[in-house]
Amino acid sequence: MTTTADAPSREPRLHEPVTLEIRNVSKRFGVVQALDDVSVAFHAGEVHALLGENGAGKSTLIKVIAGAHSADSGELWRDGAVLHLNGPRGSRDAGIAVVYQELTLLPAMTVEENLMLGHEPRGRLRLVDAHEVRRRAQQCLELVGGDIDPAVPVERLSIAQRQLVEVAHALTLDARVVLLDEPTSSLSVQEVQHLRGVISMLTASGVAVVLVTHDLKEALDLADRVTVLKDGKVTFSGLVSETDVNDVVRRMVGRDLGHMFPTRTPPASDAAVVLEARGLVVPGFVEGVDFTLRAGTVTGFIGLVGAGRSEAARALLGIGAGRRGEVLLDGRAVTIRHPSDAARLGIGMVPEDRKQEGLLLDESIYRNISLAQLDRLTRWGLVRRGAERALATAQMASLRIKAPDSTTKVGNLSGGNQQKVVLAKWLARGCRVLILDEPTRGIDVGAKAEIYRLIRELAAGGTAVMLISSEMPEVLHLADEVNVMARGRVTATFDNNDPARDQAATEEEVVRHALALESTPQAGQQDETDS
Amino acid sequence: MAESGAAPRPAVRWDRWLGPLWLWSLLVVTVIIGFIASPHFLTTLNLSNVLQQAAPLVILVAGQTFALIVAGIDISVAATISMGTTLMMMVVNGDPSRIPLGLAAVLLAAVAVGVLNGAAITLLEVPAFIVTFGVASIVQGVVFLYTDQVNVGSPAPQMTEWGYRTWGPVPFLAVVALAFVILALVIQNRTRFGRWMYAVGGGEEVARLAGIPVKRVRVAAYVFCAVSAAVASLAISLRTGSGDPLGGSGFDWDSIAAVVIGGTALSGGRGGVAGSVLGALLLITMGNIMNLVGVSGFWQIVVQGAVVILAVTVSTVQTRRAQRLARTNIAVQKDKRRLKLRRQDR
Repeated sequence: MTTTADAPSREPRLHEPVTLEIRNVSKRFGVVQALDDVSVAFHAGEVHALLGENGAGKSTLIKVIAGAHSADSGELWRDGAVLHLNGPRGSRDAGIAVVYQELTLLPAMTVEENLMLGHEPRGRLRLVDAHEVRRRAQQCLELVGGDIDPAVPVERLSIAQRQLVEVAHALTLDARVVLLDEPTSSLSVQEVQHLRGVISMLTASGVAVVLVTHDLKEALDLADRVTVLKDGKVTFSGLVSETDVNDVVRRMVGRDLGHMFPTRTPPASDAAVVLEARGLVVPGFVEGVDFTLRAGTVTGFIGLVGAGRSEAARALLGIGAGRRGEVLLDGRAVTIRHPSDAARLGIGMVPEDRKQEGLLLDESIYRNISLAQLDRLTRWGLVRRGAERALATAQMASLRIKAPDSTTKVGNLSGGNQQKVVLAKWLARGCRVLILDEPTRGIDVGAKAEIYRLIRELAAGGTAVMLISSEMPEVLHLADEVNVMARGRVTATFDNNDPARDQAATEEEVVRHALALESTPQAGQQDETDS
Repeated sequence: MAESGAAPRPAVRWDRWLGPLWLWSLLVVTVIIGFIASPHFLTTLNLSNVLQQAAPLVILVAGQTFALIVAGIDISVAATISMGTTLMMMVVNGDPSRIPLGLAAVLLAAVAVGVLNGAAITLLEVPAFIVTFGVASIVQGVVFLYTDQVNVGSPAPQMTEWGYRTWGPVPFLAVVALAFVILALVIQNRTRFGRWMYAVGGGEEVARLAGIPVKRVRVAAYVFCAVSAAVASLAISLRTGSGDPLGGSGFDWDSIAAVVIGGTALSGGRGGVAGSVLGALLLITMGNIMNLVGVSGFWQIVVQGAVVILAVTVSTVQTRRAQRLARTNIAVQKDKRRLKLRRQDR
């Protein structure tokens, strides 16, 4: 967010009473300690920014406050009394409203039906009072602006309008604590300005606004108080005046990552270009992107959600309506109409959502691994079981997949091992180009380190790796080349192997380009293409 | 919060009160075809007859719609109807003073079936198709057990009289069906429960986050569905005057076909009772026309299948077009914004 001249300077509200307090809350998901003894106090009438990297525990904390997750231990205090949350209803009754990042509106229902959902005003004969619904809906919509017709089904609205409806929804609840999870991620400058107005109006009436955001400048600009989370722990909680951007960044990322990443052996500087994309367009997502993938090289793609990275990668596989552009393999133009064409050409992709797109969870390891190449394992139309097993066993050994044997169900493996099975599936095929979309999402730290090692080993073996990741350190440490994408375009390219290091990507540079701070005044705005 | 000045007009979702416009057109076209095809079609006697015939299915589809809106389905309605007709006849057995007792017995038994369906679906988390399929078999089996698979009981004379009573051309049963449909429409459109059904079917997680008692809404939808089957069974027994242990057979698929023709999505959260009623009327009217011109009953089954596929294709295309429109809408706004920014740059 660009600093706005007219942003109101406000006195820090030091003496306001605590309205919501989190005391020693812990929450564990399997092996991941999402929240570790977290304590935060939210004061009435303040804007409280909750900061942290992906996976730091922000979303989990919000869900605990919203009653969507129950904490393993710890307490919530509201106005000096312990809060016993029995699901979302309890949290709402306690005056807490949450605007989620992933939109929680029902597309087939109208705006006003969505706004009043769960607390429809009733009139005569206990029937829903349509007049009152319309009146309240319009009131809240006017406050958030955006000129939205309450009678229109939500599916006809743009993403930005839907986000404003989400905010309006929180207003309909008359909440005393409002949590906004990435509220500005798809809003335009004007809409963000308007939202700021709504926030100051809320705080002026004594509401505590909790703001979760990736945008540090926006957070420090708006907030009275800041809490920084790292790996589920609070690393800082205090007034904005006690800290600054650099300090916050240090507390967010200040983790010893050195041991997690393997040493990078740079590819030969004349490594052959394996794949080249020219003028790649996927209407609405990718707007003219050029890049090259070289043999033995990890090319990182970084950007905000919706920047068009996954869509660009999927276009290489022949997915995406209306896609255009040229793809050259070894310098020759190729036509890819379908993922099977891509597979035949040696282009493989490990999708972001491995459970839905990458694996058959109820099937054994060997069946998953052989799935992408049954044609090679078949004789006279029958699958050669021996060869199938042998292939799987070999892959399990080389990737160090931890399982009793290749007949183990994939669904019973840990996240890290599941991801390795997906990798094995493509490696067994002998891919020349391997696209990895968020390969370490939802994987614990130990398994991450192993995936990182595998990625570098793959590159060392000559594979051209396209690494899409939202985790900055991952890309900065693993990739030889870094492409930053914003709003469907590549906004910067860095060479991490540049001997002089002045071409190398730094976290700050990358963030600047990912938010496209350079090119347009609408910094901080993200594309409207979040899926 | 600031008071808004203008008195806002509440939104009436005509699509939910009246059903899809194209089905009305199709019904009108069908009536015109009927008028051309047979001189007997557009007569008071025939139309009154059609309405009387249509009543049980119209009543039943109101309930079946609720099951589909919550992203479920109820296959047990046919068995529930068989249970209703036999129970009514057995309890009354020719004695008018026992009519209230019969009504109570049928309704209570239906509520029990609905609760069983709803509870099994929500508590055991077994798909609705499987649960209601199983319950259908259980209920039908019990009906066979207590009837020995022969017609049982007999109606009180008044019952048959009401079953054929007409006021002018308007049959009593058609009035009952209309009243029941209006009741269902009010529940669907004007109560919290109605809104919540759409929310539960449209996105269970969203509904839960909004604090809606998802399980209770589901159970209530199945109870209403079973009750509509019970009312339909009473309409049938008034007309047939016999306790047929297979009196409901065929109503399961007929009702699902009508609801689906009416534009309610199998995936839940879309559609409504009005469309289903149109679907039911369409099926009955087409059957009637084909009867009048002497088309075999087997052809009617073939045509019904074709109409189901046609209707679902139309509503899918409409939904998809609406979504594409929304996407273009987004693209247009994006372009506008870019233009604005370019102006700012200058």
